[in-house]
Amino acid sequence: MKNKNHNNLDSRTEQATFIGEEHCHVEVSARDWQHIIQVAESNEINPALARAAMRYATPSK
Amino acid sequence: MLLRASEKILKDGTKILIQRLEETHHRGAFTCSRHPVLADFLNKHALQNANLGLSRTYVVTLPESNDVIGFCSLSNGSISPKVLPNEGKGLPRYDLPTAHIGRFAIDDKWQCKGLGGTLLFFALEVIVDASERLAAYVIDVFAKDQVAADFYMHNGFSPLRDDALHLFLPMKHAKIALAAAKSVE
Repeated sequence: MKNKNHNNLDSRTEQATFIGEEHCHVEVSARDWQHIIQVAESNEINPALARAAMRYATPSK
Repeated sequence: MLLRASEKILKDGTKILIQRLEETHHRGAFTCSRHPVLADFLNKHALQNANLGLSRTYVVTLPESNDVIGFCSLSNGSISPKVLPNEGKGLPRYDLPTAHIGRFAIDDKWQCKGLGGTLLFFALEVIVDASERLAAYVIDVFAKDQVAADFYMHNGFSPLRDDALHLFLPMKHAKIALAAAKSVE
């Protein structure tokens, strides 16, 4: 017979399964796998990223 | 020290505070009419997920208020290929670690004020900071719709070719861009 602690653990585990973060582990197609690595290994930064970083990362206090 | 809170100034001069979600934050008035499920997550699950170690949620408030006007949740993740490509010698054969932006939303009343971009770049600062201690190869996010995907692309994310709503940003690039922006502060 389960004790009270086990019941609490079961309850928390069920909740954790239910509300868990979605899309944490994803599988991608072979060509997307290559695409991700090609972009990540490139030294060419997306100009949109550079512009946005200047726009948003700067005004802090 | 890990980045936990930051005060920012929007383009119209409004000061905002971004910090970890706490019980004292008012979440009930947050509305996201395009995707009510996001407000539901904030109200019902964000704190619980943080307590369980499933994600960390950061919220935006005005400095003098506890009302949440925007939030994002972050966690770790991984990406793997369904099938390893035939060509591409030298490609990794194992999962790639990711920093995952799980949920991201701005209150209906605060749309189009630059709040989304400001929150996104705060999230990138948190992620880049954390990646010095816990490696992640890319930052990834699933956009709820094409409008959201366009927002991420406008801010430097790239969509996958076979899933336009799954977008990524290499950690290396995020570090370089943030360092460049900091150097002109």
